[in-house]
Amino acid sequence: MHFEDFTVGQRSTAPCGTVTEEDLATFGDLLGQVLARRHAPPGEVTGAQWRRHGGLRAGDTPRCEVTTTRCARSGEAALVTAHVALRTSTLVEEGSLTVAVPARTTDPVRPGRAFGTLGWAEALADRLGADQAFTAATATWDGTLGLRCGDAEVHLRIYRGRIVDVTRRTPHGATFTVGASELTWTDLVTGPDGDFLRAAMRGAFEVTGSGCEYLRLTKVLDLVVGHARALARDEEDR
Amino acid sequence: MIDSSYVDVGGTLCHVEEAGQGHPVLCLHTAGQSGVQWRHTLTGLAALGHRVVVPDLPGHGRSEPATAGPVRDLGVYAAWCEELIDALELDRPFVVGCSIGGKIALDLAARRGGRLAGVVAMAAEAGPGRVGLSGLRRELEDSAAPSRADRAYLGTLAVVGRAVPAERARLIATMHRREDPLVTTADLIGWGTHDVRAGLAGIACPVHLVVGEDDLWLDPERARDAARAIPDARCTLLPGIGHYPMEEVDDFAARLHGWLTDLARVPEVTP
Repeated sequence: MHFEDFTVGQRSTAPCGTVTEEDLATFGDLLGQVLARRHAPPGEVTGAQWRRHGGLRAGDTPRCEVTTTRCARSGEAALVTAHVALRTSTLVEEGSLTVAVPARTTDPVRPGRAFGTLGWAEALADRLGADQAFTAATATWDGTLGLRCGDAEVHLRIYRGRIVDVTRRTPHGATFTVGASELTWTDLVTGPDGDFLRAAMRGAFEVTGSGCEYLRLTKVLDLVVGHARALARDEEDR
Repeated sequence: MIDSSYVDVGGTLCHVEEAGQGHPVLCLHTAGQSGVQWRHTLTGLAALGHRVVVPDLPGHGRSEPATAGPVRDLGVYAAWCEELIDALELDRPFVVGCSIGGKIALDLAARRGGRLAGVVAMAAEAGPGRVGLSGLRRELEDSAAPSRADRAYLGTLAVVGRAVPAERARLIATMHRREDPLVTTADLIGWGTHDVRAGLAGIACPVHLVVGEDDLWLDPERARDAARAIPDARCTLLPGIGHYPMEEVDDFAARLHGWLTDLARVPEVTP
């Protein structure tokens, strides 16, 4: 597969067969990562994170769920990151793999699903700025909203209903930042359930900075997620 | 026909709605809300042959505030309900509650199960609920906490189940926005602190715990734990339903009628 064949939000599920004593003897604690590698996008692995929740046992018949969470270019390289979850009746292992894949073109990545990047935030700011509900909700606000997806953070500087700057980091930092994993953003923006508060109540987001201002912007965050979903949808429709 | 009256309970006037004739069923609302949550159940269950009694807890709806201010101890509400049951001369009533109402119902089962026909405790666990108590106590000092209305509305939407049509979910959330923040916050402190686990094994009436699959306020396993600890109790998981079954489930009165009929068939419970 080529870089252009991947889209953030793509999901697949496949059975992994039955785990044997021989598998465990051969791969030990790394068995889950070996199975994940078989189902992740093919290519050179450039980064990986992995977590075991109990691990696999002989006789298990796990299925592997793969979700594309990031498509990015880094210099010449075209990189695809996928979250991989191994489940039996429960989640047993999970992690993310970033893989360098071949590309047909050198076209820049479209911003609509590049959560936490400047391009995404600028496209989001355009939509928010045109929404009267957003300008009304922030009409008396003077602060900076930070949005973090994985390691990518971006700041929206808001002054009296207008987004006056979109940048990696404002000089005084964010008033508060809401952050979550790439998988959480991917699920929230491209999945069936786009309810920010529901995700927050599940503990999927963490907030740093002013908790009071975070609460004050409850409605604004709901609007942000709504526009992020519309932005991702628009890009898919093109 | 719905009768609306004020009853003196604990030195304050309590608003009560009643409908129907038959075995009494006391219905208790959720944190910060009022008996209006049972408006469809009230008439529907009455038509199925019950005397349905729906109070507004002190400080809620049309009831006067509790004399000592917003109530942080659900045991106080349970004692208040006992007084109401006696004042209205409800003979061996069923008690049905949701959220804090469910916890109060469990408390009543532990206090006076031998004088109840049965309890349906919805969206409730027996131990302390998961809330940030320090933040809630802070909100009692700063009741103008930011964006309270938005948080009440969107926070309600977040815990309505996925099977509920969007229009009804918005209606539920809009109605839940009507609240006294101090009363709601105190109720939630009660939710986060009340613990009747020690009394479960001695409950002397049939109990049915009901929890929505999409209820983010509690882990269904905690409701199952409570059911396992109560003699002959049962537990039902409602697919696609959240924290407010009586407002979310289609024709909830019929569903509740079925549960009450089943409870009435349970042989006398021996704790």
